[in-house]
Amino acid sequence: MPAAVNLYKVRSATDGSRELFLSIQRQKDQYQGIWIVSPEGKVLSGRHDYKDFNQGSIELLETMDEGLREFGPVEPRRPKPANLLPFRGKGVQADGSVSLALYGRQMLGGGRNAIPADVEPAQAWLWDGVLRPDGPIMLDSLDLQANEWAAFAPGKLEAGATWRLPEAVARKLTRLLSTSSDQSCMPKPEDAGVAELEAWVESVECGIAILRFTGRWQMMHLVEGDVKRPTYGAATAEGSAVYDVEGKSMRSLLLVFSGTIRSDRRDAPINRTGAVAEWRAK
Amino acid sequence: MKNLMLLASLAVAMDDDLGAKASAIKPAPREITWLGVPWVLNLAEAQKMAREEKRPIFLWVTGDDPLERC
Repeated sequence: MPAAVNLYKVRSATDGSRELFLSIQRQKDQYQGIWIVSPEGKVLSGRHDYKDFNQGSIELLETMDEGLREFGPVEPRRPKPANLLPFRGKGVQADGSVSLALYGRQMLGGGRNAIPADVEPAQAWLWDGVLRPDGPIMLDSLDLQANEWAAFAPGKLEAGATWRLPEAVARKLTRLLSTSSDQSCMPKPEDAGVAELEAWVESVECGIAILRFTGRWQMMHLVEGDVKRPTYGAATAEGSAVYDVEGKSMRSLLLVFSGTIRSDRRDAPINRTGAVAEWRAK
Repeated sequence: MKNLMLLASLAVAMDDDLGAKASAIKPAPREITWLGVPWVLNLAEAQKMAREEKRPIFLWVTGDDPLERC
């Protein structure tokens, strides 16, 4: 039975989940991770750390096999596929809010003509070759309230019209400067020294307005609030959106970020980051 | 409405450069197959279902909502 649980929520649950989880933790003490547990609540196996991250899936299978050996044979489940996050990157909720789907990871390539001005020549090789992933994917969601979402729509529907989105909205996208999904490492809106997002109407034809976006961000985040553990990041973004003129509503949004991040020292080697924020109406 | 959606799709498709950059960053299908698993998000409910189906629980716990942020 696959169960995915938020540590902080389960600790405060009042429906019996808390007591079961605390019992599981007492039997096999690990902060988070994977436990294989019998229906009666007996821990059969568990895993917190991986000896070799590149072999992580094999180690996890070993943990599952260990639990199944202890439990005994089970028939495969035949569940129906599920969409547990129907509003992630899709649709507008009743209160007018939306949830952007976020993706990020370390990247390589893309061409030296895309190197930011402040990158040292010794790091230029990071832009050589085609744009390609250089690390595992980060997934996240970003909720925008109705008034924040409205800022992406044009006030004036004619080609060439421009507007600047509120800084508070741009700041919410600062999260995309990091590929970490650990709360202690993720930059917060208040970490941004620069957060600018501008837009213009590229064209209006056949009831469709094509919108364009460009933005830039700089941030400094203290890991766990420790002044000795700063992380420095910068990124630019470009984007496009489709706007339904008659329906006065957004149909799609795509923002693509390209950035650099360095930790600990201002002169530390940089890593390249890429990120995407996307949404569609249906 | 169909024409509108078609035009919108074409407009996005025409933006090949931006789309190609996004595709290079976004996960390949094999990286997110786990999102299709019908996870139970409540531990007590998972135990109830495990009892009914007489099978163990695969419990995944993280410091955020596991399916939302990882």
